[in-house]
Amino acid sequence: MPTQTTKTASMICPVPTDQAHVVATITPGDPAASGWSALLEGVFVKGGNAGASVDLGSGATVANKLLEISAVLKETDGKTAPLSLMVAVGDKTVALSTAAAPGDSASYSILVLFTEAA
Amino acid sequence: MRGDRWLVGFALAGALGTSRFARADDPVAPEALPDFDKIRTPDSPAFMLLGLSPTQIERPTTPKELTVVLSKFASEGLTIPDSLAVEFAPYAILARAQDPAEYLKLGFLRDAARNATISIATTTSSRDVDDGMGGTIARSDDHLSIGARTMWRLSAPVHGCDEAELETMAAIAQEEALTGTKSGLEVTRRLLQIQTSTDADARRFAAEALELLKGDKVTDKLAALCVKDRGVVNQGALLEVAAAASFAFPDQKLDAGRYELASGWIDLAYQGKGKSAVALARIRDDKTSGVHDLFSDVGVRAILAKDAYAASAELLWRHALQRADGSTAAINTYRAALALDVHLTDGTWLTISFGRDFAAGDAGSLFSIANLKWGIGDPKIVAPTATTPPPAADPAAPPATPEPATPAAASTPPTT
Repeated sequence: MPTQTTKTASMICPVPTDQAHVVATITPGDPAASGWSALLEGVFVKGGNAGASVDLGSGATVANKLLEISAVLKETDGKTAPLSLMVAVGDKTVALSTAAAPGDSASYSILVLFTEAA
Repeated sequence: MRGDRWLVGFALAGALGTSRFARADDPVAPEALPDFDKIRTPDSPAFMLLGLSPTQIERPTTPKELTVVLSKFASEGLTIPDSLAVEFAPYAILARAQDPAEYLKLGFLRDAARNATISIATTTSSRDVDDGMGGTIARSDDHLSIGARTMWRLSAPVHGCDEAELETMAAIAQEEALTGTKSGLEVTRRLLQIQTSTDADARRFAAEALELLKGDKVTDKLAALCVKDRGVVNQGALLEVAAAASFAFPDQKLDAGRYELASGWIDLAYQGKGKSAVALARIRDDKTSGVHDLFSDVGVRAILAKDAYAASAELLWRHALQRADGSTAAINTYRAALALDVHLTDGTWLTISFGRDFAAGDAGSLFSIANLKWGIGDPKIVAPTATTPPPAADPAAPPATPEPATPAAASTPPTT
């Protein structure tokens, strides 16, 4: 019987307020099918299925805001493989991963709390 | 011509005339293999047994609809309704709806029940009888056939998402987000702030709380996505079983009913991308002449397809278990065929065939008409169906069973 895993992860991400663009890179792992949505302060910014980069705006815009990457993944290639999701902002990354059999699925939330860099 | 004569089919004329439509790079769907289901257990064995191809089939899906259909047998007492063609799935009518994940579970008895269908058909035939005064009187006979069929999926479901499912996945991800609501956003923010605390217990509490919140948001919508039943997509292995029996009611009298035909089929079929294989066994008893005429077929067929071309090989062995008096049909005979199919358009294949039929001299024999053989339309390597009688003593003799016809049009009587 396929199983469904839920996991969350978080990171604090200081950003300079004078940074022109803060970009989050979202990478669902192969060979799963996936769908993800990026919400900044609860507002939908972008969604998709494959990996993508999301321009969240300037450092001043995102400072003190909460970014959530919510994703669902399903193992579809008929082999056991990890269901993984990685989010990178600048040089900081956070990832979630679960070993999954064919048909297994996962629901992940990666939370990024932006703070003002000193 | 003798039955052991090998005959060559050549599609020269057809190929020259039509091959301009065929392209090797024609996009042919993987499941578009030619003639895959011809040497297969019939979907509606009751119709097959009577040689019917009804244009209108009643398919009740509720107990009420089934009752209405079956009540036709109870018009002013028990009766045989005219030209009835019914097919229904008892499990679908009686069982409650299941969620897709439950549906895809494998189970021998569960599959047998869930995939079972019942088919019922009636038809009327006419015959002329001597009136004793040098003339004839037209008489009508009713025929009732009842069949059942089921199948088992022998392969696990395959997984794969289509575009709509991928869009749905992204929507589910948004729906399951923790911060999608104002309160959810606030609670999540506070828990994250707690996670920055130096208190290990507080951090653990915040982490566990986030996991619980996420668990509450998760739905079971994902389970049904990106799962393809191999049977539905015509992929994987299937075991199919069917049986049917028919009864004749001379002069349309119910109390004069008697058994006339019965047949059973079992096949093991596999279809993958560009290839398929079927092994079939069937048995048929024909008592329309008053004595049993019983034969069995065992056969295999394999097809390999690539792009717009397919090659197939077929071998069927027939054994007469019991022959009607006077029958000169061979006790053992076989049919072997090789064919090359070229895909022309949707559902249309050009076939070049080579082979030996059960009795090459029989009227209507696929390979017996001429050495030049080609066809456009349905693939022409067609296994004899249950409606095809065993080789007749007289090659020109008509089949012992009714020709395919609509129930309303059926008029050829079985030999009584």
